[in-house]
Amino acid sequence: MTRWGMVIDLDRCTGCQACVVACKQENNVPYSEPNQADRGRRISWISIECRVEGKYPDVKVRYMPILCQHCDHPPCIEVCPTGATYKNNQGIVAQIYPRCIGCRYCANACPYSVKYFNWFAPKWPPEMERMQNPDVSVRPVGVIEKCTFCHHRLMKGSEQARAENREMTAADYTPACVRSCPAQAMFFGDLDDSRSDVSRLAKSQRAYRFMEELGTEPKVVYLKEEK
Amino acid sequence: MKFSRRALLQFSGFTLAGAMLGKGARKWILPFEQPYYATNGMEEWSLSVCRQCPAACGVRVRKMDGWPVSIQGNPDCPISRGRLCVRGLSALQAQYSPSRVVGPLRRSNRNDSNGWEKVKWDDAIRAVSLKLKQIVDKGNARNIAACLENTDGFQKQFLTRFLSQLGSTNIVEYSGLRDPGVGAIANAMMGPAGEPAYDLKNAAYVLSVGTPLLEGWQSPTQMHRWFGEFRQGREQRGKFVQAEDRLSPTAAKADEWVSLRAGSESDFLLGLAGVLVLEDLYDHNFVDQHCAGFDGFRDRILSTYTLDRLRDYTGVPSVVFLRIARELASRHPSLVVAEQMDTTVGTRTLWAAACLNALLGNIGKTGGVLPLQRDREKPNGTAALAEALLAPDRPMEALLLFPGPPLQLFESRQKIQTALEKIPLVVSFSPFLDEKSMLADWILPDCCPLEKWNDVIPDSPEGVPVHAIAPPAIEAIVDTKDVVETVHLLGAQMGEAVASAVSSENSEQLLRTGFEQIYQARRGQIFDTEFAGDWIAQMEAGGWWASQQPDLSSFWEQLIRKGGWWDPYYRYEDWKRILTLPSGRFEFLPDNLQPHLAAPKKNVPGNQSLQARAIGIFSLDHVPLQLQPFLLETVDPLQRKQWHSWAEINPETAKDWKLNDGDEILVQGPRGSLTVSVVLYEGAQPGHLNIAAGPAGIPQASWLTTFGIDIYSCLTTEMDPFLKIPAGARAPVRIQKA
Repeated sequence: MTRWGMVIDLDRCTGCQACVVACKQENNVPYSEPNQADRGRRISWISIECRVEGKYPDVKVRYMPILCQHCDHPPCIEVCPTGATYKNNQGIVAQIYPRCIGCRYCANACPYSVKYFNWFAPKWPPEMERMQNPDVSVRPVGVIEKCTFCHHRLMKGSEQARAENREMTAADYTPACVRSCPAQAMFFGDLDDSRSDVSRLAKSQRAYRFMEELGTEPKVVYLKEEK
Repeated sequence: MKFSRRALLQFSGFTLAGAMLGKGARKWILPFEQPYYATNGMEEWSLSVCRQCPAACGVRVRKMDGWPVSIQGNPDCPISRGRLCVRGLSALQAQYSPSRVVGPLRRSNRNDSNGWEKVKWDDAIRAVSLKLKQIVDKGNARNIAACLENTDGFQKQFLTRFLSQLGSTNIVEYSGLRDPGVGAIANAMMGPAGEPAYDLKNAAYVLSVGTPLLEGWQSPTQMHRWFGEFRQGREQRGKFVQAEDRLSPTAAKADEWVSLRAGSESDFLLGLAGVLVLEDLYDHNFVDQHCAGFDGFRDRILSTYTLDRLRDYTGVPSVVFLRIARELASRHPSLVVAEQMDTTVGTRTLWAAACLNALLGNIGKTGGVLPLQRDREKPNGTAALAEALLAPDRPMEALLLFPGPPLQLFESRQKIQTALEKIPLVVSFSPFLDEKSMLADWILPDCCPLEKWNDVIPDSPEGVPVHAIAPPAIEAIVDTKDVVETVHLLGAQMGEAVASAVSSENSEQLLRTGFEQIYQARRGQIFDTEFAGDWIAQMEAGGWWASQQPDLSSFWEQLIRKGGWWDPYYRYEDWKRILTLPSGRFEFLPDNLQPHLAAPKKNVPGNQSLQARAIGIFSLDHVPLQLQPFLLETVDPLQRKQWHSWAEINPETAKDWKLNDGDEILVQGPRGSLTVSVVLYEGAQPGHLNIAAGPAGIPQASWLTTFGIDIYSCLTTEMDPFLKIPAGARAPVRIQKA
């Protein structure tokens, strides 16, 4: 049974935000305007959280890329009144945009705050419309969106493998963020495949899951910084 | 109906439209009537080179029905290895920017930011070349100045050939990625090998004193790649220490942040050198065999940097000095880097870092300082241009602004504009209405990188030659010309000598001739996998080399299919090449540096003021980047501010000034004032104000809100007396709530 998951090595991560931009480019995420960003309405399917601890000069800063954790027990699907958000048979927590009525219960229920509401209709100048990725639909105002583990790439990868009459491999499917990370801090694959990098790394001594005590069973595994 | 590119341009009437694709002009352009998915899904990949900074990462462009929709790194390029930084990934927002100049423009009144008039290429070339020829014919060619990007390559050589044939000697180059002073100090202490690189890949212990290693320094993608491997990609995890007065994004990722008093970087380095000498931990072999002047250096530091004084000089306890010096000495190879970006850390700090590296014996060795394997005279940075511009008696008659890094002149925008009023002709070749174009009379817009041949030799962090070459990925979408073609056309009007110097009609012709030199060099290889690079380096180390292509034309085919050529073999310990001063040694105290090595005077701001300085924001350091929404939304990982500039202040200091997070303040500096909002940050040193300004925005050019503060309208910069390079915006300021 395939369960897609991700491992993020926080020792390697430099907080460069390449993943943030790669995701926006790949998934046609609209950019906000200053007044909307000031109200916290910027949409960023993956973003770098930063925590500053201590007092000068004994200060420690930590970065943590946060994206949808594709929980195995997601709180968002429990509260969705229309079934617009659901978990598919490969473990990806998906969103059906036309079913979403914009009640935002899922965004409130999500402990990771990784569900984003389209408070405004996405718009690009006409000159920039050409740069949209045709593989990903643009969401209208009033619906929730979030990381899909670049599900469209899974579709492409499996169709490619089928066309070539072979099994799909890990190399056929890599989300944009993982593909772009210059520090190679992100890994992606089938957590249930014992040969995959992610299943091996998920067993590392440094591995932990974010807020797993809530029982969400996230499929994004973090490797904490080494000392 | 299938929309071909040509049909689209005619349909939307670009040829009649206003000066730029933008808010004002759009009313004359019919909106694109193509739906989002007007493609039949034909996917194609092409290569190109990212030009969002001078690092020149190789990229692969995904096109749908001929239109680029995504950019990734080129896995065969040794700089990017398939990855990119935030700027590279945002490059399509430059390609499709509404602030792109749609064709040649001129204006009669430089103060009128909307007074642009579109002209035909023939008319523009004729008019500009006529003006240049008039200057040359008067015998004043030396009064023509030009600014270019500080990289190399055939296209760059073409431009400098044009300028030198014209007779212009006022050529200024800048890159903004490294400390512009490091080359001069290396020349003084080791010989004319140019800027050194650092073998970070093989270092086990890295001490960085204020270097923004992870903030865009030297080669951003490559530095981030290095960091990942340094941490978890090797058998032994490396240790990285950042010594800096502020907890920067680089310090945030260090294993240890040593908080230094601002301005004490050279004292810190010399204190460490003192410990190495005192405890006899320095590399005797290297010092005895390859250094001169050690005795004088030793006496100097031992008398000044005694353990009891180190804390007074730097704010750092002496036990930390002892520990770090011992770590440097015991964890081999260890490496010290002390540079800034765009401005300089100063002669004394650069000198101290070089001395420390010499004591560690790492110069020219694995994991150490790598003098570059090429001779390249490093021309002036923009400070020289600023000096020339602002000198009242220097009669500059023309200024040619070629595309490249930000034009930072360390003066307020107002003062620069006033200074430029003396210059009758200012021409910008930039594709955007950016800070260069807004100072110009004429814009002869270059193509964006995807629309033209790119050929760049960047400064490689590994100290080896890398040459990125890629053909155009798409045709130009507006009426722009490759700057090589423009210069050829200008040159054709300027007389026999100039015309023959720039006789290649376009980049393809130029490169097809030039690339033979690469083939003839009989070394290195075309971009390939990392393993292939290691293999050829091994071969060359053994004195062997074999061509992987049977002839010139298959070499060319492969070259453009893979995106470039490089020679990964670095000749370590090649002393005849590395130490080229007359003594053949590393000089601890070269004569020309000695007058400039005195300890800096301590700046103690008065009670009523704070010590303000500008901090760099890599993703937004020049205006075209300020026009890319991806970058405006992802400004800084530390403060997570978007869209606006900010100033960091320590919470204790903020309390003293009765400020809360987000308050707007008025900052009064020596040159004027500015307004900025504060962010309370524990990583800021008390008594300091760290302003993340970016360059001043350009309201008229921007279809977005403006980001950026004209920092040099408020703060001054000190000029390093030996290097004649600015040390960066820094001054005591008064603040009050706005």
